[in-house]
Amino acid sequence: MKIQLVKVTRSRKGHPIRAEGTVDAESPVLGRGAHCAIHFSDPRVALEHASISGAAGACRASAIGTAALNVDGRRAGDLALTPGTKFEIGPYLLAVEEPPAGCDLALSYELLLPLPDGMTEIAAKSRLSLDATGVSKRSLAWLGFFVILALFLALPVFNATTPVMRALTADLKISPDIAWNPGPLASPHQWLTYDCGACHRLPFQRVRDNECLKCHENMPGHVHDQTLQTALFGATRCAECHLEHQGAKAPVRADALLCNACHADIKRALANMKGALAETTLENVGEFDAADAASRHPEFRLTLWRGPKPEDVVRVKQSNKAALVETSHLKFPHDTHLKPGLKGPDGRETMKCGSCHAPDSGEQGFVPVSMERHCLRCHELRFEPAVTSRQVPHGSVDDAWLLLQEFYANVSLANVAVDTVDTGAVERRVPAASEAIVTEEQRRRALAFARHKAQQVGADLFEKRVCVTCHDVRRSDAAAGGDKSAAPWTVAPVHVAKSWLPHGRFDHAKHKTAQSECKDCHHAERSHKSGDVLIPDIASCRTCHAGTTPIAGKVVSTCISCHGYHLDASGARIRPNPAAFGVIKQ
Amino acid sequence: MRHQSLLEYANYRYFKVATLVIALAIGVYVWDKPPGGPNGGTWVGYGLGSVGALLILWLLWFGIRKRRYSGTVPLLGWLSAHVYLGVTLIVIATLHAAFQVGLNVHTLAYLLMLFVIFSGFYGVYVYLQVPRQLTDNLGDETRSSLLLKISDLDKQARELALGLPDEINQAVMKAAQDTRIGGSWRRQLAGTDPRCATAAAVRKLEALGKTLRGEDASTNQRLYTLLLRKQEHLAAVRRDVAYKARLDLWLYFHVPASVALLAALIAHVVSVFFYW
Repeated sequence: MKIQLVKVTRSRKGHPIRAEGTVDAESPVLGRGAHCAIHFSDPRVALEHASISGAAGACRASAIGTAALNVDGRRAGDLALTPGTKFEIGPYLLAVEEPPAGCDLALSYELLLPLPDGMTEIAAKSRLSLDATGVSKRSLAWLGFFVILALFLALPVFNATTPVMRALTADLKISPDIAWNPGPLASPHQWLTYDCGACHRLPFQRVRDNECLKCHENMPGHVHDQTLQTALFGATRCAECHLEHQGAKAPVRADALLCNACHADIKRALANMKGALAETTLENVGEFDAADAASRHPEFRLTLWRGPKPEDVVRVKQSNKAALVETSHLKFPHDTHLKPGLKGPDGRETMKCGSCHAPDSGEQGFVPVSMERHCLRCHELRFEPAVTSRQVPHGSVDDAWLLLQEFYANVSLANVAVDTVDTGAVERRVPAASEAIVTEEQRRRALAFARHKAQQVGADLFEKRVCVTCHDVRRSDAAAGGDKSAAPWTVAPVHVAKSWLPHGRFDHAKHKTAQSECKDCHHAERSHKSGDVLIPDIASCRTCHAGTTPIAGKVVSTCISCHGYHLDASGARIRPNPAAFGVIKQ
Repeated sequence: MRHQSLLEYANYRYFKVATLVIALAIGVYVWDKPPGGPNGGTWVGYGLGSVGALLILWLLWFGIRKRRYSGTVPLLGWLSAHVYLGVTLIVIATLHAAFQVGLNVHTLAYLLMLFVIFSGFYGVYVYLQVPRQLTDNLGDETRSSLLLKISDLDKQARELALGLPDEINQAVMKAAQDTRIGGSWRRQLAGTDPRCATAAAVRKLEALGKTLRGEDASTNQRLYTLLLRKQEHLAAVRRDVAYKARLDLWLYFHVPASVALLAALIAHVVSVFFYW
């Protein structure tokens, strides 16, 4: 069989270029193999792809094995080769043409899909860098940038500046600007957590006092004196000291710096004030335990009552022993009472501090000592022990004097034997009345007896035996002047100090340690006069209290460990002249 | 001149600068005893915050500076300063915040900053380690010379396979057509390809070669050798891609996070003064 074979290639412009040749073979085979009569050197063609058989004009092509002939995209195993027929073998397109004279068959072939070269092929299928995977740093960066700006800047600003938006978000559980909250609010303000605008009223302006005063409008100033309040705090915003967003604890400063700003040089701080403030007697205070005396806490000045008015007080340095005398108008020797084996109503006994000084309910201080509860058991007020166990009432000279007169009038009238006291010319006994009616003369004599007797017994009671033991007793001027209704004696009103350091705070319960005893601070056993003040000095505080710098075995203490911010111990705002520092018993 | 690493640049000049900056920041923080305790709103807090913010802007500027090929300080110097001064930010920002953290945009900015810095640490590690591995791997070759060799080997293998049975021919063709280098992030970073078409062709040739006799057998032997060489080259290119990917990977975190940090920083500064 003789076959004309035409290889078609294309010029640059796409025109076909035909190269003709002939093949002469019996049943020629088309394939990749070198032995094939019609040879296609392309790996996509099978080694033996197809064979051609038949005579001129009736040739057929048959696929070999699993190879395929494709006609218009359809597989064909066997194919009549009539002129005009086109079919594909691998990447080649074959066309049957009119055979020239002398040939049984004419076939043209053209390589439609050349093999790609290796480099391009590998490159096309490979992604050789992270950038090539389509993930771009730039787009990630823009995404992050705009998401963060939108959520954490645009949204909160829009919310804060647009009333409509604020109204919409007001009831939400979470506010758009919550991400701006730098820290938890103090517990009294926590209900404002989602309402930033309640305090942050104007953008780019610090929180104003107006916003604070909306709730705290009736708050008094920090100091009682309005001039001082204005001078000290007039230009200071509340929020400068009351720092918020610092956690649930109260936004109150506890640092010594706040106090030291003025109190380190208090005279200079008050130099521009008028009146009493400019002449302050306050001393400078620095660190509690500073090494140099000029800047550490000065020694205590105890507030002592001098009377007669309740506000008549003086402040006396503890080192000024001569002036450091309590004027309570009471006589009480602590040492005598603390002696072991005192004679008591039930035999010998030894008193302790707690026998009289009972802690109050909070154990911060003590219940006031009272005559009835603490003294009367031993110091009875009997006036006629042979006849009666009655005692004169305590606390009122008039009541006691009245009781004595009434008692002896009754003695006289009822003819009670009380002749333990020599009454001289005055007769005790009222002569027996025959009609049981006392005559005017008898009544006058009986009354004279009673007054005389009461006077005698009272003098003994008040001036020698009982009252005078503890009290400052004098003969009454009114009685000496002839006022018969007045009691013959006066007792100076007793003033028992409640606190000698009314500007300081001291909690006895907090100072109860395993080792501590009353006598560690209060040397009562050595005190013989009630004028002694048994308050420990600041040096004994310093045995346990350090300043703001920690020291081994000592408690770090700032100003407000003992003092309130311009408050006295009871929490009241300090007034320039404290009205009362103690209780007064008449 | 001995090669200088970015850490040793100019006799550790920027290490010294950074140490000084950190010491100053700590000194000022310790010295200051503000009322209410230290926080971002005291004068020292504002000062540290301003320094930190300016430092962040300057560090971001490196992204622009490195694309320019002029300037009096060489790029290595800039990189050295970038790394060392970046480290000082950890101290400056932490002291600015006075160790306070919360669920808010301020801490978001802080965390983004830490993320950028620590990803940068990894970047420094990678820049100090990987280039040597890159050179050791490629030797005198380059990636494109290896790719050229691979494509040459493919061509030779295809020609050799033309005369061999269809199964072998197809395996060789598939090896040429289906071999991929790199691919997904995971594939690039792994540096291997368990579904490599060339490896599959090698295995197939081993099996089919036993059935061949005579000239086919020796052709097959030559073909097998070609494919083994191609496999070696492929492994080298894949390792090269893996090293390059490691060099690049951290930047996918470092760069976007630093731009996000810029946004968080803007939000932080504006919010603080908006609600002063």
